[in-house]
This record gives sequence, C-alpha cells and structure tokens, in this order.
Amino acid sequence: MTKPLRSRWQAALLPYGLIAPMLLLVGVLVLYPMTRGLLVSLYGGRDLVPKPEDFVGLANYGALLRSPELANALEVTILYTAGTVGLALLIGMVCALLFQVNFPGRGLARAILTVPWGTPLVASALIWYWMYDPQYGLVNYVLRTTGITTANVSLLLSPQWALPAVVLVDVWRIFPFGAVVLLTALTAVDRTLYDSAQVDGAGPIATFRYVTLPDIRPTLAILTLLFTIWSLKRFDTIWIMTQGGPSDATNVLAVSIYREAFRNFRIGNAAAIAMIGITISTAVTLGYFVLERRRELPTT
Amino acid sequence: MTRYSMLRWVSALAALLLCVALWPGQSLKGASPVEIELATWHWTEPERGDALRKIVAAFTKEFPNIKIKEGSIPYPRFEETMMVRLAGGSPPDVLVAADTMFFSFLTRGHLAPLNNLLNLSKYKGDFLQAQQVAENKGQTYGVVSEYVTYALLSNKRLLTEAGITAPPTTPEEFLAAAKKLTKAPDQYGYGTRHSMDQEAGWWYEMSFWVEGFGGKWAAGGKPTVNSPEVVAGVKFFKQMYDAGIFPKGVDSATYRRMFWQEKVAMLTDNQAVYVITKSQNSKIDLQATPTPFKPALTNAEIVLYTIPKGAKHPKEAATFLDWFYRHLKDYGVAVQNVVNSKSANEAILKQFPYLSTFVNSPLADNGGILPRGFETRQPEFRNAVLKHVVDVLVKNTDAKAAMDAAQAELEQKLKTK
Repeated sequence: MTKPLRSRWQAALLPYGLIAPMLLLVGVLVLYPMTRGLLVSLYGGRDLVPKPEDFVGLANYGALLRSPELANALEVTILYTAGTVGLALLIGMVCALLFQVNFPGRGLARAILTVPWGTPLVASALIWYWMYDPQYGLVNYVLRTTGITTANVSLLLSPQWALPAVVLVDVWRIFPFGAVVLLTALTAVDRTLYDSAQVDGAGPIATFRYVTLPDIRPTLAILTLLFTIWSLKRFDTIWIMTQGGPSDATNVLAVSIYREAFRNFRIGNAAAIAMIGITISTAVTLGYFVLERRRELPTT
Repeated sequence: MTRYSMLRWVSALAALLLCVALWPGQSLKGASPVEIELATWHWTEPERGDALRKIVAAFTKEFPNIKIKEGSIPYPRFEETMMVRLAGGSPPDVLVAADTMFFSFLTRGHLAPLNNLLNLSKYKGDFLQAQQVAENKGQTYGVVSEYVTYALLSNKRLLTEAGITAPPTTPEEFLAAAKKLTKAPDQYGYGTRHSMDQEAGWWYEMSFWVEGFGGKWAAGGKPTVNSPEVVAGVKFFKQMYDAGIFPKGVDSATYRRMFWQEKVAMLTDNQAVYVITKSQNSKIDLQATPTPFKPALTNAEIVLYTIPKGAKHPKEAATFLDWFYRHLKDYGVAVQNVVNSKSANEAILKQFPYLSTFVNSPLADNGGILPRGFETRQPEFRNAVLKHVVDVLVKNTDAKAAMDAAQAELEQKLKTK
C-alpha cells in the first residue's frame, strides 16, 4: 500500500525544512559577505563604500598577479603555515606519546599542557614580544647567560629570525590542542594490536609506523587541515609583534589585507587579496576531502 | 453639557496637548537636553582625558541643555573606526582628527564646512599659522586645538659626566655626543624607534632626521624619497644604527622608560614625553633644547576639531567648538601644551617656560610628516620608505639603491587612485 501523496511530499520536504535555518545562517553570515567581498574586489578607488565610477573589473587581480609584494606575501604565508603546522603537529605528537605513558603527576602535567591554548591570543603575543625584547627580555637573558651570545639579539628586527620567532609563538599556542586531540586518538587505538606487534618482534618505531600511525591518520589529517586554515588566516600575532616587517619578512596575506584595507584604504585591492586567500583555503580543504575520499575507496 | 459635546471638548484638548508634545524640540516639561557625541582618542589617555572631562563639565554647566557623550576609541584604531562610521552614515557630532586623518576624512567628503555654523572671523587675529591646515577652497573644515612639536630632550647630568658641556646643535655633534654617552648595554646615548612594528611612530623620527638634512618626502607633485637630501638623512640614520648608540629592537615605551631611569641620555621627542619623564622621575636634570639642525626644524602633529557631514546635532556641536576655542587656555594649561591661540599661549608659556623651545622651533614643510600634495597617501609613503630603510639597516643595502627602490614602488602605487 502506497503512502498518500501529501505524506510523501512532507517526507520529501522535511530534510530541507530542517536544514533551512542553518542554510539561512550560512547565507547571511558567510555567503553574503563573501559575495559582497567578491563584488568589492572589482572596484578601485579609496572609499570604504565603492562608487559606481570606480568599477575596474578584474584590474585589481591583474595588478596583484604582477605584483612582487603579493608573491612575497604568498611565499611568507606558505613558509609560515608549513613551519607552524609541521612543528605544532610534531611537538603535539611527541607530547601525546609521552602523556600516554603512566607516570606520577601525569594528570597535572596534562592540565598544564593546555595553558598556552587557553591564553588569549593578543595576551600571548604581547608576552612573547616582551620575552624577545633585547634589553629586558627573557630570551636574551637566557642566550647571554648561557654564553650563546655576548650582545643583545633583536630577533624581531632580523629578516632571518623574525619569521621563525613568530612561528614559534604560534606553535607554542596551538600545539597543546594537537597534543590533546592526538592523545584522545591514541587512547582509542586497539591495545591488542600492540600486543600482536610485540609478539611479532616489532620495535617502538615499527610499532608506531605500522600500528599507531594508520589508526590515528584520520585525526592527524583533520588536525593538519585545521592548523593549516588557522595559520593561513593568522593576523593578530604577526601584527602585534612585527606588523609584517622587517623587510616584509613576516608579511603574510592577512597582514597585507589589513594594511591595504585599513592603512591605505584600498578596499577593492584588499578584497582581491582576500579572495586569493579564500581560494587557497578552499583548495586546501578540497585537497583534504579528495585525499580522504581516495583513502576510503576500496582498493581492487 | 451633553455627553457628546463633552467628548468633543476632551478630544480637542487631547489633540492640542499632542500637538504641543510633538512640536519639534519641545516637550511638555520644556526643552530636553540634546546629547552630542565627541569622538576622540584623547578620552583614553590619562592626562588629556581628564583635562577634557573637566573642560566638558564646565561647558555642560554653562549649557545644561547640551550633554556630551564620550566617543572613546584608542589612537591606533581611531582612523579606521571613524572611517567605517563615516562611510556607514553614523558619524559623531564632533570629530577630533590628527592632521593625516583630517586629510583622509576631508578628501572623501566626510567633513562639513564650518563657515555657516561658526563665526570664526572673530578669532582670525588669535589663530596661529597652523589653522591654515583646516582651510580648503575658501572653506574652513576644522578648528585646530593644539599641536605637538619636537625638541632635543637630554639628561644634563649624564651629559656633564661625559664631559659634554652643551647639548649638540649639529648631526655630527649629536653622533659624537651619543657615542660618548653609550656604555652598552647599561647606558645608551640615544633612543629612537627603528622597526616596522612601530611603523607609525618611527615615521616621525625618520621624517625628523630626513628634514634635518633638507629632505622632503614629496615636492612638485612627485615623491622625492630618493633625493640626495633624503638619502643623506637615511645614511645618517644608518650611521647611528651601526654606531650602536641606541638600544636595538626595543619599542618606544621601553626606551622612554630607560630615559627616565637615566639609562638613555637623549631623545628627540615631543613635549608630552617631557611631562611624562618629569612625572616619573622628578629628580632628573632634564633639558629641552632645539633640534640638532640648522635651522632647528621640528615635526608637528596638528589636532583639529571638526563637524562631520550628517552629524545629528551640528548646531550644538558648533556651540561646543566655539566655547572650546574660547577656553583653550584652560585646556592648554591642563595638558601642558601649546594651543592654537596666541593669547592663550602667552599665559601657558608663563606657567611652563620649557614649552618655549617647542613653540619657537620652525616647522618643517607640511609639518615634516605629510608628503606635500600626497597628504592622504602618507601611510603608503611611510610603509614604502621605512620598509626600504630596514633593508639599509639590517641588510646593509646601499641607501641610494634602497631609496630608489622605494621611489619606484611609490611611483607605481601612486598611479592608482
């Protein structure tokens, strides 16, 4: 016996009705601003609300693609992201493996581990800024007292060291999140697999490679994606510590966008850089899903 | 009286009362106070904020029907916040602007001419030259309240101990004295900003040294950041950097603190720093002398009070501006600063004689920090120039080559509107 027509319609429409509020929210809070941003990127001029006569089409994109500043910003963004994501994952993994082992005070150590993650971003950037201070900073004090250097070192003033210095701050802030998430994934690994590996005579490295890593790979992948997206849009730490300097050594895309929008008041140009940033973020996310999909497909 | 006619009378009376109540600017209890918003970063500064609050309290006492609401935004975010509000059609009634912001607001058509709101001609003889900044195409767009200038601040005790009998008067003397005074890392001869995280503030110091060598950021409708004079200023800054006369990598808050702790001997700074230093260390033997150049040019940051287009209460805002100008002396005394009033300054200088050094120094072209003809493009000049000066300082790039690169970058940027 078939259901009445009205009931079938209701059943068909129900899912759409349920997701409608979320779609509306995403539309208003994400899609509309993005569309506006895309439209604004087609305008020149220096007004916050572009005038019709300032329409320049794709000229902003053309100029940006020829600009060495954008090339530098992209390069710095990639280096910054790679450094932050790589180090945060590595340190997070080491910490997670350490905290898996039972030792006295493990609970307290785990709690302390989360402190950097809980510290407000601006506060941590300012604290590190002071720690790097060549005159009164802790970092210089340690470098001098251990005999590594004899003079004060201005890390944030050095084109070679400024980027690693800001990367370190972000790594310090986000690695605890990675450690906590990975620790949860590690505890979910089937213990019998470790026993089997031991019976087969596998050492710690082989056990990690062939037992632990395959099991926590999905968690690792999603962490990599999250860290990458966070790093791609990181602004506050860098702005507070270097404002993109010295010699544009820390000038990531987010800093370029802010400078163009709120220092130079070239909103169209800023929106165009933002669109390029969004394209990169989207490509990273799509790349993740493609890889996941391939992994899930049954092999023949 | 029938029930019907009574109803008619009551209805008529109610209609009359309603008309009175809704009459513009009236209420049944009399005129209600109008609230105007005064937007400035000064509210966030301890001394200036308190001085302004006292001034506002005195104004409200005289004009109880005008209340003033604090539009309080810290300086680093002031321009962008106001720009968003002005573009969005919700301006404050009184908008305070530093010179760069003023040009930024003016060229985008956000400021109202004051000529129809205020009779400024009565103050014409009392205004200082700085008031000219507010004039544009025969209209006045603001009232200059005060201006901040720079001088050479030095610690007399440290200079004497180093055998320096008088503050330096030329760049060469300055460098020699600063070298003598430097015993790094415990004591330095000089303190200055020199990194991009302090970009806005560093521009003042860089402009100061460049104008000392006769340099200008722009002239004849073109950027001139690679002129021989500008390059000479940059080279001198590099000489100071290499000589290690100032603590490297420290911000202005740190070296100013070192100055009042007597760990830095000289600063090229404004009168506010003089006041702060004295308040932090009353025993310091502090002297303010003209800048070490001939002529002893100085930068100036001018502060203007304006009324934006679309302000809700322009008349009341104008009433405040007029009253504020008449009471500038009280404000100047409270903040220990010179103001845009010859008569007020006489009294202020009598009370604070050290200010005469700041007042009597000749102003550099366009206040030193504003590229002539490109006033609204100052942030782009600042970024392009300082970025390349960093190359000179830390990468040892040749000063001329670096400034040529800055010039090329600017010429490219200025092609766009």
